[in-house]
Order: sequence, then C-alpha cells, then structure tokens
Amino acid sequence: MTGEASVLVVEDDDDLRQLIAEVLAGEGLSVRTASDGHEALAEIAERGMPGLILLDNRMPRMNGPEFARAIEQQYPARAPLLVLTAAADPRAVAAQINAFDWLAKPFEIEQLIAAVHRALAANPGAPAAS
Amino acid sequence: MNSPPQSGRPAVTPTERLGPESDGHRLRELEAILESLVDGVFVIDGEARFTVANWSGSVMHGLRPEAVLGRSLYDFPAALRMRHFDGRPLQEDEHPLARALTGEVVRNFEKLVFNKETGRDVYFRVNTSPVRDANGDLVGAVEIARDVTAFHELDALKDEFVGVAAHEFKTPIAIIKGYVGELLRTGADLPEARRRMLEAIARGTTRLSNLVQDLLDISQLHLGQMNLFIERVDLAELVERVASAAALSARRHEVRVQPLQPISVRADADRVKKTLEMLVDNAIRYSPNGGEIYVELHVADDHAIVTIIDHGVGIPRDRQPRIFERFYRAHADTPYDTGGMGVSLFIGRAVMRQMGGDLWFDTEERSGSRFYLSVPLWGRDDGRS
Repeated sequence: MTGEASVLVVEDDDDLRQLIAEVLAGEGLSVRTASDGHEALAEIAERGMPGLILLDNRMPRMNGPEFARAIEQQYPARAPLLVLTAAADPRAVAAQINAFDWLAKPFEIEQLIAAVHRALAANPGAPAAS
Repeated sequence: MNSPPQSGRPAVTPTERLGPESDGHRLRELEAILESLVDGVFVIDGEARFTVANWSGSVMHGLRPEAVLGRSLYDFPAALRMRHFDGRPLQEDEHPLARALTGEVVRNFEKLVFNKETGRDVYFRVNTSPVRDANGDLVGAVEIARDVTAFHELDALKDEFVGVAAHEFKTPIAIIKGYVGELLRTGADLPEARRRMLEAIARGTTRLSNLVQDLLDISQLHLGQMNLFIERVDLAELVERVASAAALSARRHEVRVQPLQPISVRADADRVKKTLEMLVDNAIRYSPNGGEIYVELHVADDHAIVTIIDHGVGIPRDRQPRIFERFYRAHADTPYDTGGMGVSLFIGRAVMRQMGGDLWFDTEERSGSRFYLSVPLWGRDDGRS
C-alpha cells in the first residue's frame, strides 16, 4: 500500500456500496469493496490491510460485529473501523466494536468525506500489505 | 333483560322466575356468574384472608381457587413477583386490596404478575373497593382484575414494528440522499432547472429522513430503549450555533441572541441541538407575520435554562394541556396548520427529562409563546466517574 490511501468499503447494499466507492474514488482514494464480512476478510487476506475499513453493521453471512471480532483476532494491527449504521444508537454500535468513528444512515456526502479523511489522518501509519 | 316480549307472552326477569323464596337458587346463580366471568374476582375479609377467588382470577395468577381461598393476601405478592408495569416490586401497602382494606377505592391500578403455570408475565388492570357492614364498619375488600396482557403486548409490538420499519427505511433513503447529494456536489455545469429539481428531491429526502428518525425515536422512547450520550457540553456555544443557523436561513424573521458566556452542562449535545432547532423552527413557523425571535440563556440553581420567545399566534387555551402528547397537533384544523406528525414536542420533552432537564412553556393566544428548555449544569463531581 504505497501512494494513495486505500479504503475498503464493506456494505451489502449494491447501490449504497457503489455510491460510497464512487464518492471516495472522486476524492482520490484507492477504493476496494466487499459485500459482507467474509468477502472483506478474503479481500484483506489477498491484498493486505487497507488504511481504513468502512463497515456496514448489518449484513448477511457475516455482519459488522462478527467481522470486527474476526479481524481483531487475525490481525493485531488492524485498520481503523468507520461504522455505517441505521441503528437508533450509532454510538453504541461503534463502541461495541471499538470503532474509530461512526456514520449514521442516511448521511450527507460531505459527512462521509469528512469522516473518512478524519479517520485516515488519525491513522497515518496504516499498515501496508504484508 | 329489556328484550321485547315474544309471541305475546310477558317478559320474565330471572328474579321473578326464581321467586322470593329461592335464595339458594340466587346464590348458586351468582356463583355460576362469578365462575363464568372473564375477569378475576377476589374478596378478602377484615383479616385480609381470601373468601372468594373465582376461576378466571385464580388461573390468570397461575393458581387454583383452592390454593387461594383462606390464605392471606400477604402470602402472594412476593411469591407471584407482583410488580408495577415498570418493574418496580409492589410493596405490601401498595397492593390495591390492602389499600381498599383501609377504606380507599382504587381504580385502574396496574400490576404485573408472574404466572408460574405458563412461565409468562401477566399484565393486570385492577379496581378495588372496601366492603362495609350495615354499620359502615370495614369488613373486607373486593378486587376485580382484568388481564390486559394482549393490549400491552400489542402496544409493544406496534412500537417494535415502527422501530424495525423505520430502521429498514434508512438504507434506501441513504441511497437517494447520497446520489442526489453527489449529483448536486459534482454538477457545477448543471442547467438551472435540473439543479432546482435535484434540490427539491434533496429537500424531500431530508424531510422523509427526519420523519423516519422521529418514528424511530418514538418507538425507542416508548420501549424505554432511548440511549443518550451524556458529556460536558458548552450550552452557550450550542445555543449560538443553532440561533445563527436559524438567523441565516430565516427570510422574514430576525433570530436574535445575546452574546453569551460559556456554560457547561451535562447533556447529549446532538439531542439538545435538535430540540433547540425544533423550538426555534416552531417559533418561526407560528409567527406567520415575521418579526423577532429571541433566544436567551440563564442559570437558575443547578440548571441552565434556554428561553425561546416569539410574538406569534400562541397556542389555543383548550389545546395547551395536550401539546406534549404523542401525535397531538395543537394547530390542526387552524389557519396555522403547517403539517407534521405532532411528535417533536413529545420527543423533545421526553429526551430532556431523560437527561435530567425539562421542557415547558408559557403562551398567550395571539400574543406568542415562550418555550423553556432546562439542562443540568456540569457539576464538580461529574468528570470523575
């Protein structure tokens, strides 16, 4: 992972995943995507740890909290998590999985961009691919 | 027994049919009525021992009548885990039958009982009355208990449904809001007409999103699941931010706020901000002739109080007592009806109270309203836990 910062977008809704990927690519970020926790783990195993993981909370097969537990066990130095959630209490969701920050659905595009840049800035030493 | 006589015969009431000599029949008839009632009927004597426990009442409590008769009232509250609807244990002297035994008439008392037979909680609504002898002396008490579990569960189910539905709306709304936002953000060369269309979609989506959030809030509050994030907040900064944003967007109103000194409060900043925005929005909305809206902040005892003052239409006197009710719209069917679900004041007050603050008002019809929002001050010990 050299050069531009990379973001892994883990979201089961195709349209929302596409939207986020397009917006972040427009910001000059390198964007990878996965549609659930399993795919995200496979993606990280194959291409290494991104600088930031945007994580939907509720997904089929492997949801946000399950993915967070799995990645915590497998990678001692994981990327910060930015949780996307429609839950009534997004802060509690973020706290539960020790996420860096959260974004409540529905969000403004500007909020998405600001949250991503904030998380990346706070994690300049994001681990490169091993 | 007022049905018209049939085939020319006179109507006969049960009493007439039995005749005055049939006391034994009357008694058995009454027993049959008691045993057939859907509601529970209990009678205790002056020593608080059960002398009557009908079948419905006993079974609803997970007991057989013979297990109740002759026993003391005070044998049951702990064994049946009697509680208030909010879960607090029922103290002995709070039991409606115990209160009736002191001469009190109790109506619509709500109690929760664990039925060991079914393993489920049963919600009861109960009326009790004292029983007196011919001299007027207290000789016992009677309780009529209605099982309202089905209503209670239906109510909870409704809130859960609203909560789940609101949650499911959020992702599709996020897609619409997101793409419209992106089109507007990146569409510097959009033709003006197209831009206006997209802006209208964006506004509609924001309204839809706010409605969904209100529904979700209501279900959370009603289910007792609203979580607040309490932290140290500078209320003055929050008030100034809300007032300046309103001042910028108001076209025919002046929103004025005095320069403020910082005031630290214990609050959920997002929730206080939303409540303030709602109050300022209402002040503008119900001042149709424009004019000035004042936002003031002062400290009283251990609370900070924000006052939002308008000189608008006020609230009709007969509607004032109900404005904090769920789904109540004080201006419905008046010229000032601007729509909405009638939930924002309900949510605002419930949230402020959960924070240890409050929300209240003074108003005079046609002269305007003052809404007050109080928040607990940040105390000396607040940062230590």
